[in-house]
Amino acid sequence: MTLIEFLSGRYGELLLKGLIVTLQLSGVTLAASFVIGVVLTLIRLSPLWIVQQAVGLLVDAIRSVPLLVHVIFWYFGAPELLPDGLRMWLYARDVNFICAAVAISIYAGAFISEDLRSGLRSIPRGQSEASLSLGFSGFETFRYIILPQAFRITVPPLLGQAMTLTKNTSIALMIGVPELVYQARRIQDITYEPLMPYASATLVYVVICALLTLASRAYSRTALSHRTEPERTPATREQSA
Amino acid sequence: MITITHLDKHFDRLHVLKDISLNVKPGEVLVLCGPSGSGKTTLLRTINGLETIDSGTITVDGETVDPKSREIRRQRQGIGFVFQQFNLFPHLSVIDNITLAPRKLKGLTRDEAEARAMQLLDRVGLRDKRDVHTDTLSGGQQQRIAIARALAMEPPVLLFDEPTSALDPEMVGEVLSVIRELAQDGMTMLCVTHEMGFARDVASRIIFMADGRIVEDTSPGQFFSAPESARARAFLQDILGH
Amino acid sequence: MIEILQTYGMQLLIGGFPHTPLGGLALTVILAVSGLVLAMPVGLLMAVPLRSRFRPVKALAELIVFYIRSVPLLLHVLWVYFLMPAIIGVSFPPAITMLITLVLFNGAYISKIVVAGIDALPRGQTEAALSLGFGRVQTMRHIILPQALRNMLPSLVSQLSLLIKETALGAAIGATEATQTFLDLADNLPGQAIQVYALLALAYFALCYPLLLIGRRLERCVGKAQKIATEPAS
Ligand SMILES: Nc1ncnc2c1ncn2[C@@H]1O[C@H](COP(=O)(O)OP(=O)(O)OP(=O)(O)O)[C@@H](O)[C@H]1O
Ligand SMILES: [Mg+2]
Repeated sequence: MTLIEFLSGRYGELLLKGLIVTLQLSGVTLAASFVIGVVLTLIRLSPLWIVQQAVGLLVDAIRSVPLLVHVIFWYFGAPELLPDGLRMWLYARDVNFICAAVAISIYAGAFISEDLRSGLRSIPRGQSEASLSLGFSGFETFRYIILPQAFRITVPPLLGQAMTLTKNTSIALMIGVPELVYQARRIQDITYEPLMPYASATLVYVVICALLTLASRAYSRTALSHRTEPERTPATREQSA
Repeated sequence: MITITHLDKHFDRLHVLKDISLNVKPGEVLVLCGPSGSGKTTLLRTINGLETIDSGTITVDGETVDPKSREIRRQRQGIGFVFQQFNLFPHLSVIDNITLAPRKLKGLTRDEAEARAMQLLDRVGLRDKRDVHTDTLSGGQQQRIAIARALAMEPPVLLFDEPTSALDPEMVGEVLSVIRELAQDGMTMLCVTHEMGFARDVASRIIFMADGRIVEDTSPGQFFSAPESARARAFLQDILGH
Repeated sequence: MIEILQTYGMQLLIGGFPHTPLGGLALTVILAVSGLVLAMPVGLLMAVPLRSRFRPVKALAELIVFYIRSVPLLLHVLWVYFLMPAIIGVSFPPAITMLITLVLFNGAYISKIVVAGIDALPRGQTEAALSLGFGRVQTMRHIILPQALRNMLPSLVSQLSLLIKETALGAAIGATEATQTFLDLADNLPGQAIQVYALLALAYFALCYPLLLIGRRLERCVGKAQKIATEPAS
């Protein structure tokens, strides 16, 4: 059986369903984690030392625990703590998907906030001093001078996070979310034949990552080309499982 | 000692060295000068085989220098190079910076290499820095260690590429006096520098380059009192005149 | 929670050992540490073709590394678990499967770290070595690699904490590492499941957070040393 034959049959349909769930989960969590990341970063800009430290510790703590454990906690543990009404509401919906999405968003949000923060910190002091000396206020300096520069530096690592996040959605299979790898496994359980389903799923991830890599390269070429300092090489993985 | 004939070199379409011919006799000290971009660094690097050449020949001690040949490593051992930016090895102590090459390339034992290195440290006046890390040294000290490192291979020829131009003014003197002593000891040297006082005292010949060509090759007396070319006059005016 | 620790602490630490193979947190740590130790040589070896000047070799190496990095670790685990036996005819216990996967996966990442570390060194270092008469290989061994490895140290410490977290995926194929062990315990203590999960999270925090701090501290030291090395006092 060729890959084409395999994919055009019933199993192709299952995998397609899985892919849709993967994309949905990735999209939702990407948006949510970005918001979480921004909010955490803004709170960390607070002048209060204790607030900075507390949020810093929270971010580090989130990053220190495997995503799988986050997922397990939000699926098996957290609902127990909810008031009855809310729990009923939750269980009436796609509880697996929601819990996985919450866990992934929080986990990735912590990593994104680190990226945003180091982007902000990489802007030399001279920039804000120059801006203040021109008469801009602190907020204006942040808004017109610091943020635009920091944003440009942060886009490539954020695309890297998007890539990692998409891969990480596969962990949702552990609580039964029918995403791509879940479907591949299910097909393997039916056919006792692992090669085709896993090869198909693998191919999908490779394509997604290739697209994101190309996007990141194109961005670096156009938006960062005038920068004299070398761009940060994304050699280390930010999130991982 | 060094013979260069009809040397040409391009960087892509940029013609950086044009028909260079030069002969350096043992014990001579040549000072190379000329405006920025005239090809001084490139010429020095080709002699060390750090750059390939398009045509012409370079021979050192009667042997042709070719970066692609197998002999280049052995030949480089006989041609010391001192860089503008020192390029000390930051993961090694001062003594290891000096002894690494003799130990690994000449098969000296640690004791032999260190005994020899201590003499060199004496010579550059840094005996007490033996075990410190290079990043605690001042620029002038780093450059003196770099000279000792090059000398440790006992090369018959030393090449200097603006050895003092990355230094604070107060450190220039200590490095130049080390080079001056080497000259007195009869070392064959090629030195790119804009320290004209040093050139006048030490050089056997001044080579003035502009636009990739050797424009003048004369004695210091001649060069400073009556330069032949307009370019050299303009250059001297810029550098001495103010 | 204290009660759970008092009663089941040993089980969480070493699993059913000595009646079963070693498990629990001990297995997690062993998998992570041995994974890193083995991934280092793999990463160094993979860095060689990645820096090759021969185009096809470099392209092939890039392709392999790209493939490894673009597929979820969980999927790699399933490949090794279900397909390796089919291909080479030998099947491994879950813990070994996990180790093999972690070594290959992290080897790919480390190879990229190595290449970045080498490329980050100033060109003057190579040229100074060449001008003394060192060959390419000797320059790499005596001058470039020692510096690159030193600069990589912070990344390697972070890599260890990543590995610790990655071992949790062993639960997907029934390797009795920490997550699997805690999950089993939670099944046996239905009323106290949430405490068990909290303990699990705390255990990972206790392992990874110190590594995070050490990594940061090292980063600052190396960063400083690097700065001095590349911008000599002038
Ligand atoms: N690796 C290279 N690739 C392309 N062009 C180069 C390279 N190295 C030098 N050049 C160019 O070759 C020309 C000669 O450079 P070189 O460094 O030899 O000049 P120089 O006389 O040493 O100048 P300076 O006094 O500024 O050190 C310059 O125009 C320079 O821009
Ligand atoms: Mg120069």
